[in-house]
Amino acid sequence: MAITTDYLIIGNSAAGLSAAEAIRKTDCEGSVLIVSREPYSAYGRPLISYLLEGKTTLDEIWLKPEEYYEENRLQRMLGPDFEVVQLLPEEHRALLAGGEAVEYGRCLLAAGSVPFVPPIEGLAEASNVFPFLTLDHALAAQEAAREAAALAAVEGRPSRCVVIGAGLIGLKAAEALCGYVDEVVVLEMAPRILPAVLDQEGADVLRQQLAQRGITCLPGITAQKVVVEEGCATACLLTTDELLPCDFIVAAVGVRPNSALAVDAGAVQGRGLVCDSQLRTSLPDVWAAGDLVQVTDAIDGSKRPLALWPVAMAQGAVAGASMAGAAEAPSYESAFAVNAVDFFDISLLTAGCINPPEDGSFTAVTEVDGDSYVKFVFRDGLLVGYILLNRPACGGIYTAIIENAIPVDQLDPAIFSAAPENLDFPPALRWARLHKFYPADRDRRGWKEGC
Amino acid sequence: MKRIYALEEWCIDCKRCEVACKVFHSKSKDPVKAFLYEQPKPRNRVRVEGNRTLSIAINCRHCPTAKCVEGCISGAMTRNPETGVVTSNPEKCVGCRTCVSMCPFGAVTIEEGPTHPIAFKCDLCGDELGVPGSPSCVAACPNRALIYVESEGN
Amino acid sequence: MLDYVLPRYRVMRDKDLCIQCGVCERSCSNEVHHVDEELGRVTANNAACVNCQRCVVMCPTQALAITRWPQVDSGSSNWTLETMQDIAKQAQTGAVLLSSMGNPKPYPIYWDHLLLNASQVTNPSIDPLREPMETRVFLGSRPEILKVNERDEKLSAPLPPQIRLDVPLMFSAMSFGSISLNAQKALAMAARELGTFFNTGEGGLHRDLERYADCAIVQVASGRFGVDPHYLGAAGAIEIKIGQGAKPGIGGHLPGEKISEEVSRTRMIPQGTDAISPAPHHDIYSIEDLRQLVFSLKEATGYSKPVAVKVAAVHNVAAIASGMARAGADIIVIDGFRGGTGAAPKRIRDNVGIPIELALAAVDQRLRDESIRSTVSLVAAGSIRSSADIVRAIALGADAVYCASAPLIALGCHQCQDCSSGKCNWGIATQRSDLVRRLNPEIAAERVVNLVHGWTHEIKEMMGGMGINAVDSLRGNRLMLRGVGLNEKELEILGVKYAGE
Repeated sequence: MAITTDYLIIGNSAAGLSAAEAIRKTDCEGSVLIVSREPYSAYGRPLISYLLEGKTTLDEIWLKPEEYYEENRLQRMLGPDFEVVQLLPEEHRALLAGGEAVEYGRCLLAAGSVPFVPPIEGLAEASNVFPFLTLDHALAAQEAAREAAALAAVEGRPSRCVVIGAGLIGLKAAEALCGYVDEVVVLEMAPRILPAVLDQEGADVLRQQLAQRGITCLPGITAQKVVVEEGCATACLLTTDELLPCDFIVAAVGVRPNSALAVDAGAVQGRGLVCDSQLRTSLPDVWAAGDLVQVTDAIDGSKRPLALWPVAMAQGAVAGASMAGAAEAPSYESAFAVNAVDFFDISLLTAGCINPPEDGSFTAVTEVDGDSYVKFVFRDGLLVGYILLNRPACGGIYTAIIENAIPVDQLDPAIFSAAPENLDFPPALRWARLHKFYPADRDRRGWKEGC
Repeated sequence: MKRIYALEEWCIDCKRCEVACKVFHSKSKDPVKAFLYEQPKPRNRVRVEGNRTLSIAINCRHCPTAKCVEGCISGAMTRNPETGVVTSNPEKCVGCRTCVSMCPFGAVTIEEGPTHPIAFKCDLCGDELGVPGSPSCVAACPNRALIYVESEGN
Repeated sequence: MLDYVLPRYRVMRDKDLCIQCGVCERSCSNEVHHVDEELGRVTANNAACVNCQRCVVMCPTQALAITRWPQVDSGSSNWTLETMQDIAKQAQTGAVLLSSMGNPKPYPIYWDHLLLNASQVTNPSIDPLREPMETRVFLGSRPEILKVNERDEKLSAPLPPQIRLDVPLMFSAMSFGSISLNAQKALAMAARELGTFFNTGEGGLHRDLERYADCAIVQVASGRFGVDPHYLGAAGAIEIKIGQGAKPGIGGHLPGEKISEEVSRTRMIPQGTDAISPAPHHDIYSIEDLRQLVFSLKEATGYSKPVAVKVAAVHNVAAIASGMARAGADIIVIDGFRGGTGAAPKRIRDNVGIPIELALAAVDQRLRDESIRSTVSLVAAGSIRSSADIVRAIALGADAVYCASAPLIALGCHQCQDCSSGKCNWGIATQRSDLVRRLNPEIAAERVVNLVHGWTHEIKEMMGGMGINAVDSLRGNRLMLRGVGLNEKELEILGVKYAGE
């Protein structure tokens, strides 16, 4: 006897939950089933590093209280048995790993990304190599770190963790594990750390600050081979031919869209699933949201997945509304990357285009001031990207300037030299921004009767 | 919902709103203790921009589709569906600054919290998260440059 | 050169209460307070303090009070500290001493020597909460005989134009220029709400206030600023200003730097030029000349509105008032020597003119003696401080009073007497945009309305106590007054008996 549901949501994180919430805004009756191979209630995936640092706890990482699912009648089937292994869109059926089948009305693919395992010799076979995407990954890495520290203490040597990949995930893992082991070394094939969100100059500033806090980053260097002894990685042979002994490895070279299910079912795939503005895939009654969707970059028009939390939330809301047939369903046209990340007391906000092509159409302004590094990228009189290293104040104002394509010449030039202010906007725009839903019976002085 | 609106026409840059906000959000609710003795120092969630010639108080707009909520990785930042009030739960916040990078008004700041830096923003002076109270900045404004009125949207 | 002038005030800051929030620093246009990060405390430049008390009111912790500068004087009752400081100032500058607001000297305040009557046994008092009490008055000239067509129940001859006041007080003349537009707007809004009038002074009617023109009395003074047919036609009444209680015999001088674009447009003079109001009207050297101006204005407005003439209370005010009545004035305004001003030479303010109480009593009596009192309305001005002063003024013969200082105090004025500096921290006597903004007319108007409502309740209670149920019945009813601490001559001029008589 198959399970039947009106809405099937595959994936239990930002996009899936956001879609469920959106469905409920329009359709209070239809049954909603969320399935995921992870056996946990939905949690903030990026929280895993904070969990290891003690900035949050296993009691606090859950996105919604348990009552929420009951109140909104969201049925969940969580665990390895409930992983969808095959999607049959024509039949509106999904087959689960446990052998059961789900008959659905409409389906959302929100299964996120999966870690990309680089083709480094020895990496795949070692038991002490961990990705750093899920709670299980983090807990396993934590356990390995504790064991490594204990063993190293007995042996009277420093414990060491090697992180392969100095992207956001790799560096957050490095920060988290820094408190457990004596040394954390981060390898990065690219010539700079955080290659996707920083430029060379900013990366150098950040790298020095991370070094002061106990994280050694080696840009331009990666492992050509992992030395495995008795099933365990014990050292990395670097591309410099040096041998770097280690207690365990975190592999964080990148992620790829977890879209195999849809592709196998015949969905059109570019660098992610190709969707329309309602986030419908090419399959009948199948929508997609989150990391596996190919997004049009609002700035350069390129098409690729944007594996970011806010993007997943926004897409989930659009897809959910569309699935439920909301009267005024919003549409999803394009997005640009906005990243906020912190390492210890270092803050980094970046958005949009950071490393513009040198084709003469972009201009960039950079400024180093003590610990802070700031970069603004402009094109055609518009702000299209920024880096704010250790100058986070009011950063979202810049994001809004990019998003709303506000011509820079309308703004007070001082807006780029210190924390931006609302007063840097011209009066009419300022009023419009700050006075949405302003009562119609009052004038701009706050008076009920004009005079 | 009722929203706070700031009016440039009457803002005189006295920053009494900031003082009142700090005091309301202090442990003691006493200005002298709040300013001179409490640790961590109470934070004001309303901020006056500008100078005596032109100034305006900035605080959370409690957006219907709040970007800070959309961006929050920890579930700390939520918008109460009934009241519309956007608040950050200090227990859940990890201080990642996604909200800072998303808020179009600069109305969220990350400041020292009880154990680690966390987000601070206007909570409309409610006694509990998501429930509006009577905003102390509005009460402290000597010139009605801050008004707390029923808005045209939720 | 070493400045011999001492500070007048001293800021007392309670160190235990000061939280160094800087509200005082940002509130003070005289730059008295300074949050000194280095010292870790707030310092004060006492010499710059004018005792406007804005900081005292704004301080979130009540950490501030202003006290007198503690310097003792020489010990001489003759060479007081103030007298000597005046000399020091003039020795430094060689200039006329300038001051503001009304005469602060300890001359007798006759209001405080006049006590009100109340009914006991032989005639009943009236409870204003239970019985109607009329505070409405009409100002303007009255016909000697009322001709009524009794069959139609209509007047057969029209009444001369009058203005209706729901309360027996109006706001005295304060020009845009001497006070801020927001202050004038607040008074205009309050006048509309209260059913009374504000007075534009000699500053013209700002275009933003034209919607309040029916509540405006527009002034025609010696500078004739802002006067044109539109101005005259828009108003509820017109007032010719001959003199002002704070500075009788003196003209006015608004320096060019205060003639901003808005002031310039409203006064109809070039921007940046000095606005000089001559001491006399250069076309008025006699009662006959005054009559010409009165009738010119009536002619210009089609005899549709009353024309008032305002003079300062001076030595022969009664005879002058008689002449004004005969010159065609519908309303006679007498302004006593404690009346305020935005700027006046200190010696004039402190030494010229006479008290309004004596002037009012003398004028009322003179007009009665000449049997012309009923042809005009009489308005008393020059420091009406409370509802009791209004009741006394009406009992002495006034139809209504003009108030300015009291509503300004409602707006925030603390009588620091520094109006002429143009740095009024309350946004009243200033044109500096950052200071003007401090006065939200909505709040200010509410405060003035509250004040007048409070006074009106009190007037009704006092009248009720006397057994009188209308302001009209109180007018000139000097039997309701008794003097205390007054000599025979004072009683004679005031026309009241001594308490106990």
